[in-house]
Formats: sequence, structure tokens, C-alpha cells
Amino acid sequence: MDHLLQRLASGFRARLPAWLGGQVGPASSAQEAIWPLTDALLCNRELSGNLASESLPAGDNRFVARGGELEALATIVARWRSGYPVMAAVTGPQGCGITSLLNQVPAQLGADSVYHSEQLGMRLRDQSDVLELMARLFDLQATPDSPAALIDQLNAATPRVLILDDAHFLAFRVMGARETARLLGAIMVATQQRHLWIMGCRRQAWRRMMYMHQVDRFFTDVLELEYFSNTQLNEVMAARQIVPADTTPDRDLQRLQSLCRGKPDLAFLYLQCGILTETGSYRPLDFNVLKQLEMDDLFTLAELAVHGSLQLDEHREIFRLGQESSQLQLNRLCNWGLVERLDPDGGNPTTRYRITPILSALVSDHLYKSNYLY
Amino acid sequence: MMQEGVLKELIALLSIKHIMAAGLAILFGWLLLVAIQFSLDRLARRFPRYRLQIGQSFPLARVLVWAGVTAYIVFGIINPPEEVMFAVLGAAGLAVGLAAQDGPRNLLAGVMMIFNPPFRVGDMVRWGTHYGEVTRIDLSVTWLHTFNDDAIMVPNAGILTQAIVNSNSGELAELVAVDVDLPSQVPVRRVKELALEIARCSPYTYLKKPVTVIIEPRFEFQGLLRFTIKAYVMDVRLERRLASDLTERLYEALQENGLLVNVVPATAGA
Repeated sequence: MDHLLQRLASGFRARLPAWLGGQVGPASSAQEAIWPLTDALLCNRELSGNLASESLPAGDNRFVARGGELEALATIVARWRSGYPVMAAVTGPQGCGITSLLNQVPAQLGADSVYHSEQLGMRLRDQSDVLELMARLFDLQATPDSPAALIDQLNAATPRVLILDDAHFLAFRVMGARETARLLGAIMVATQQRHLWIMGCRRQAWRRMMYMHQVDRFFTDVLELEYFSNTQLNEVMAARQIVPADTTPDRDLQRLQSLCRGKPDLAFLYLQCGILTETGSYRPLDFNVLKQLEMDDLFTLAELAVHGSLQLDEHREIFRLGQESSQLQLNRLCNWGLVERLDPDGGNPTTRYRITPILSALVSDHLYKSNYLY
Repeated sequence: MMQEGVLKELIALLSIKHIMAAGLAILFGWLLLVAIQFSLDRLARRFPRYRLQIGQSFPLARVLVWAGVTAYIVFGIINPPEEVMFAVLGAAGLAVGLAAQDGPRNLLAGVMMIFNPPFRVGDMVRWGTHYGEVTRIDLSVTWLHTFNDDAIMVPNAGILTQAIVNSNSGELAELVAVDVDLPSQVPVRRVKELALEIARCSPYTYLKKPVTVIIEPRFEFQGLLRFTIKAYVMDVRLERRLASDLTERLYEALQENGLLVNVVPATAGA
């Protein structure tokens, strides 16, 4: 009891200056108890690729802690094979392992099955984009002229499993995008008797599509992934040889899990360079920057959370902003470390902005509490 | 003789010690309320999604705190004999009733509103010609904050005697209706599709609730069609922002599609 009162009193003393609106001194105990965001981001950059953020290929022995979901997918495949029309979606928060799980599906199909896996990687703007995507998925020699012709062609094709990942690219909030997404959905529904569609989609985008297109009514199975629990996280870290199995005490593991919300890349960052307090536990990340954001910044973060990433033009289109205003807003968020800029490369023709992956769970949590995400 | 006795007893009860103790109790009650309000404000800022639920607890807390303080002063500090208490209550009641009829009426209305609230702190309400967010419910008056940044004080008795429109009833989302009148020759289906699409594309629209477009014929010097876009805004405070955004987007879409001909000025309202 005394210990609890002492902790409450010290917490109160530490927070009082901030509550009263004063500036907190650099050496205050409130600041010593947190891990500066800039330090964490710097550390993440210095690590040569965050081991816990890469997606795992089929059969990789580092793929652990998702046994239940693999079984559910096996059941879905079996149902489809027995002749039931099936459409499945795998959803979950960013970085929970949707792609890794989808990568394991081919291993369950057997050698005789035909499958095609595709990561969307770009927004579908109009009908021709959808038809081209379908032609790619089904290895068609020529792209059909109309959706009706395409559906006829697909229903005559060899039954196959189609895995469509990164479906957050379908949740686009601009004029015309709704019709494109509905067209893709209509083709999937019209061919589900013959082909098995499995779609991977981030949770916020899935919710947006539920509200806009009622997608949940058309998918027969929806697997909802969550971030990892204490034991799962320990298993994941051990499998990736970040920590030896069962070496992290339960107390530390609980603290680590609550700080990183069970998100493996953030847990990895904590294990690599998380700063310990005097009592030997990890310090929480300093997220005061979120409290300083203005309404427009928060709306931008919310749309980034739903869309996965945005180009400058897409951001302008959604918020009806000028080029400079849009650029300023996104780059300001980049400077604060909340957003990451992906410069053009081979697979990405234009600059894109996305929420810094290791922070996505914490940012989404804040946006939800502040009513910018729902 | 009896009245003199009561008066003497009353004077004897109002000693310096009792007055100071009562003052301290009032001070404690006031400080407690300040602390409660401060904590609730902090809580509402930390969890904006629940700010309406948090805000509505303060008026009740205030009544409970002041009722507790009054009871403590009367029964714990002064502890008057029954005849003194009844005499004082009777005299005070008569004096207050005669001197300030509106005051007690508002007070009573305020207490009634706490137990049977027609709105909560954070709701958007229309009272007469006034429209704004309820920022505070005191015991005798209610404060509204309008979109023009005006603070309006409304007597509680007036609220209970006049119809009041509550736009969101304790929820953060609120229906916003935007009217646009177009000449009756416009392609109805195309305009309706555009209106639905622009409403879904606005970042302020709450997509969990339905977006609809209502069409009705009108006549103002010429045959018109009124398109009413009905969409929910994510937060009542963004009501005007959504209405303006929808109007802008619709006009732009009509222009881009070559449909913006002789448009009659639009009106928007919650």
C-alpha cells in the first residue's frame, strides 16, 4: 500500500508541471522515465533491417504462433475443394503477419493445385486496371473487353486459389474508386463457385470497406489476426533468434508486450536498444508529439492508417489541398518521425508516405481514442 | 415570546466558530468541485471519443457535492433544534420566493434537468433561434457555444418550457443535411450518384452510418429539384466543416461533369 502511494505521489509530482501548463525541464523525472521518440527511430534506422518486420516465405521455420489460423485456412481450402463457394479474408493490424500467413497457404495446397499470389502494390483507378489485374491473376493471353466477358472466361478456367494481398489499396477515398472496388468484388463473387479467393487486408482498410461496400456480407470466412500475446511474442522472438527461448522473465515479457502492444518489430527494437528505468523495466516511448498535432494532421494520419500509404497527389485529392500545403503537411509529419517517406525505386514509381511501421499500433491506438479512426 | 426565543437560539448558533467551520466546508466543497472538473477535463482530453459521457457527469457531481456540504453544515456543524430549523426554512423560503421568483424556478429546472436531461454537455442543440454546443449546465443556466464563437446563456426554466432540438443526443456523430437546388432538367440519376459519391469521399463523413440523397420537386420562379445530401459527421464540432466540404465537392463535381447550369444558392443545416 505504501509502495503504491509512493508511486502515485511521485507520478503526481512528475506530471504536475505539465498539467499546470508549464514547461517540463529537461532533467525532470517525467522525461527520464520515457524513451525519446527520436532516439528510438534513430536506433531503428541503425539496425540493419528490422528482423521482425520482414514477411516470411512459405515453409519458413520462423513462422510460429499462428497454428490456429493455419488450421482455419486448411479448413477453408478443404471446404472449397468439396464444392462449396468460398471467399476468405485475412485481416489484422499493420505488422501482425498477414503476408507471412498468406505465404503459407501454397504449402497446404498440394502439388496438383493451381494458385496465384499477388500483392496489389498500386491503386486500381478504373475498369481497365481491374481487367488487367484479372488477366495477370489468370495468366490470360489478352485482356477481355468487358467484365461480363471476363467472368465467362474465368468461370471456364481451371479452378485455382487466388491470393490477393495488400487489399488496403482498394480502400481508396476518391471519386470513382468505389466503383472500381465494387467491380473487383463483383468479379470475385461471380467466380467464387469455381475459384477460391483469399484476400489479405489491413484492419482499418477492411473496416472502411465494410462501411462502404459491406464486404463482410460477401466473404464467407474472415480470419481476424491480432498482435501477439506474451507467450506468442516470446515464441516469435525465439524463432527469429532475437532472444533464446524462455529467457525473458514473465514480468519483463508482460511489460514488453504491453509497451509494444504485441507488435514484433517494436518488441525487437525494445530488445535491441530499449532503455531501462532505475527499476530495470523498459521505458515507454515518448508520444507527446501526438498531443501536439492539429486536427488536419490527425486526419492525415487517419487516412494514412486506412490507405496504408499515400502519394502526394492522392493526399491532395482526398483533402482537396494545394500541392504545397499537402507537401508541407506530410513532410512535417515526417520530421516528427510519425510518417516515413518512401522514395521512388524499382517497385514504386512515385514517392509514397506511410505511418512509420514500428509506430503504427501506437498511432492507430491514439487515433481511435481521439475518434479519428472508427 | 416564542419568536424571540427562536431568534436568540439562532444567534447563539451562529458563533464565529460555526461560521468558520461552515466556511471551511464550503471551501472544501468548492475545491473538490474544481478538482473533479479538472480531472474530468483531463480525462475528456485524453479520451475525446468519450468526452460527451465524461462531460455529463459533472452537473450531477456538483449537485451531490453541494447537497453533501449543505447537509454537513446544517446537521454536522450548526445542528439546530427542530423549531429553529423550520422557522429559518420557512422565513428563507418565503423571502427567496417573493424576492426572486425566476431564480428558484431556474434552479428547480436545473435540478430537474440533471435527473431527466433533455441534452448533455457536448450535445448540439437548437433553442429558439440559437444553435450551438452545450458547454456547461449550471444549476440555473445552460451555456451554449455557437459556430460564430458566441457564448449564449439560456435560463434553465426557459429550456423546460420551450421546445428544444437536440441534434446528436449524446453521440459524437451527427446528421448533416446539405440542400442544393438544381434546374429540373438535370440528369437526376447522375447528380444523385455524384452527390452520394462526394459524401462518401469527404474525410469528415462518418461512414459507419448511411449516406442518403433525397430528391424533391420545388418551384421558385422556375421548376427545380432539391437534392438533400444527408451524411453523418464524425464529430459534432466538424458539422460546418462537413457541410462546407460537401457543398464545395458537389459544385466542383457538377462543374467537372458539365452540369452546373443556373444553380440556385444552396442552404445547409443539421
